[in-house]
Amino acid sequence: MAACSAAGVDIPRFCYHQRLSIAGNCRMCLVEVEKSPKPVASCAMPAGPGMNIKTDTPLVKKAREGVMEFLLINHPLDCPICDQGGECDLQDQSMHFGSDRGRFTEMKRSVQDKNLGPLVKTVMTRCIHCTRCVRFATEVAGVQDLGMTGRGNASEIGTYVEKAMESELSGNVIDLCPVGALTSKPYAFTARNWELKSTESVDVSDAMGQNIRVDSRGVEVMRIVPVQNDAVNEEWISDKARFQYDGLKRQRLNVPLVKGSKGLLESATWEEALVAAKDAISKVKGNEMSFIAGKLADAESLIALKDLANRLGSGNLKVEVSAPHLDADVRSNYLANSTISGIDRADVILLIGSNPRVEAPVFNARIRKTFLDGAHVAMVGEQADLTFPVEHLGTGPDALAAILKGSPMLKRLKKAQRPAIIVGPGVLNRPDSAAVLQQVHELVEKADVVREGWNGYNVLHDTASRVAALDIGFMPSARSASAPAPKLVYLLGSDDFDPADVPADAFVIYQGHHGDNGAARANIVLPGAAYTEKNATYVNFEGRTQRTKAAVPRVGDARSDWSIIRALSEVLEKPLPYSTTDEVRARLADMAPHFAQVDTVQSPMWLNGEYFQAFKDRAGKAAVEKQAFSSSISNFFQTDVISRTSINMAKCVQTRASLAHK
Amino acid sequence: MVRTAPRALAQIGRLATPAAESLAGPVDVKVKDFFREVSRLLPWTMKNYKLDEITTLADLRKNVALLFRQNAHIKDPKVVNILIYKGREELESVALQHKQRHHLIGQFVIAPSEMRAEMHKKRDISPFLLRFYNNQSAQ
Repeated sequence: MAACSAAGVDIPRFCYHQRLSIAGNCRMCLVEVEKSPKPVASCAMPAGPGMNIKTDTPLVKKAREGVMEFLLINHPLDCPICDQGGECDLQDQSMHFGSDRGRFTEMKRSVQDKNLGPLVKTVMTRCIHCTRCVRFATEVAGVQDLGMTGRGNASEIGTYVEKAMESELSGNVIDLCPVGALTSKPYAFTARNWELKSTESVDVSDAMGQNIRVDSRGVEVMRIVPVQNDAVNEEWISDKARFQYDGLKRQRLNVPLVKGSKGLLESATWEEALVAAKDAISKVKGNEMSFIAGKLADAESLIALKDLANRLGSGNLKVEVSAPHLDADVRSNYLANSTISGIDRADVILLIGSNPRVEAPVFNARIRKTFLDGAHVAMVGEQADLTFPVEHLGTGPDALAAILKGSPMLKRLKKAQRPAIIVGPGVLNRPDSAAVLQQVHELVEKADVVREGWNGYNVLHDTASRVAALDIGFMPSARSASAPAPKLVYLLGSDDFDPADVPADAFVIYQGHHGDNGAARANIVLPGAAYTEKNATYVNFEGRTQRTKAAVPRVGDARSDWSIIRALSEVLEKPLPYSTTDEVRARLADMAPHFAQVDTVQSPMWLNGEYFQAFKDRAGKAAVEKQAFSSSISNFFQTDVISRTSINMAKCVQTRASLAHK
Repeated sequence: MVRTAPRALAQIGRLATPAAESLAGPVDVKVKDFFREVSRLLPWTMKNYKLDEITTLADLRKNVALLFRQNAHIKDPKVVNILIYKGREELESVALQHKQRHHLIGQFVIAPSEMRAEMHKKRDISPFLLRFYNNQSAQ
């Protein structure tokens, strides 16, 4: 089949999928091969030299027609009420290759629907037993939840006992299902695919920058599906990326709010709100202001806020849930240098303080693929089920020290051709991360992880804004260490801020799109745009610059984020020197050239450990604490404001909790 | 023959005032009363002239208020009385549909928005901030 498609001939298929193993059970891809007595299933047949394949003979047509007739025997005629209608492989192919009439007069069989949890809806009578979902669950997601039971006419796909799918990637079976047997529960009966407007964009629910397509109708996001990008997410996305969109409809900030005399937030015009902000800002000194960016902040608003802060004389910039000891000096120090697709080629992987299953589930599936290709994976950190067997070397820094002293793992890393070390937020977010990172650096040096043509040092971030913030240098300036407690705090979409950073008597300006912790604490609220409503730049953890596209209009009187900061700067009479998106992007490219190259990775320079030496000098002899590396994400489904307001995600949490009880 | 909705006719009947208004009574009350009269006719105007395609009732009322406020500096009762008289003439021609849709659009939708833009300009606002306040996308 691959040979045929390389030659430009498309062969119909149901069960074959290029990222799954070959099953050969739908028989739709039958072709005629010369000297073969019977038609051959082209998906399972290796192409050989001198083979003569015919795809358009009467025999092939007859064979396809016959297969189609068998498939349709037990397929219900409910296309008008089926959610797959309009984008259904079976529908399309029966129009193309099927017969014009059926000869089946008996009763069709019916199958009981299975409950797969709050995300995947099943209508099992429609199932044609292609087993794509079963293969996906076992091969890619790594959960043994789905399978085939029964034989012949009685065979059914299902979970063996009633149970929700326990995977962060379960939504992908919806895309894989060629018929309407597995469809999206939240999307059920809400829209038809031909009335949707599709916009290709980028997801911000984790730091991976999964490529997505936002399908919208009018002002509403109806669903989110993956876009194939082999370098990033292949063609999978996580359940959070796919199903958190209903959070975009709830608890939105739609008008500027200013705290009135009664101590309550009252709606105001933009002019009033900006003037109120000006009044507050003009009362404090530059160094008494602090600026905190949230998990979902885009590069344009980060640079605008940084420029504004510097103009006001403040260097107190911070990204919430910060990695306090990462600095922006050397780019290779905070990126996944092997790149996401490069991990495929690694042969030994050591995870330090990282649980990729919750931090970036699609990346975890990629590591799993590498493992299945024969790589050895080990981890240091709290024990976690990564959906594949991992050698667990210990939980805390002492285990790391043990590796350094010389252990089988060190030898293994040295011997490997392409060793990879992945440092996760479990290390970066610790108060003693400088000292731990120093150990990791030592290990990188000792095990020769960076060598000619291969850089195996990887940092895995957990928030979408982090890498762009580091690229821009959105971080505390040298002077900020001596700054007094802030009297005014500007929160750029920051809802998970450390309460210590926002003193009780501080004046708070919140800019963001959801009413959450930040807006509740704020004196002035400036409504911004969510990622489906703006054209914004994000950088993923391998350093790939990607842009979201506005799929739906902004809510109410909200404005795009960087323009709010730009307008505020003008009201403050310190106007920023850009007033269009292109000009902001030019400024970004001035700051860091890779911002000009969208959708590419510029491999950063590796300074041969010289940087590590400097780091060591700076870190000094900080003490390493004993506690285990724990992932920053305790609840995969609810990590940011959008997923916290999403009902779908809340249902997932509930389902998970009930599974844990059983 | 002008055909007008009976309700509107009744309203105009109520509005009809003698041409020579007496100069007695505080003018600010009269102005407020007249503004209320105009506001009462606005929903009918919206509907009858199909103005809901281009504006909303609230916006239209804001625009009318802006036109009133243009004369806020005039304090002389004689002049105010004349302005009310002219305004009532205007109102009558709207109610009797002597004005057409595009007259209203020009007078009560486009002109006020231009006035606002002019006011922003006078306050020396940059084009960016003006676009920002008006929710026009920054390119």
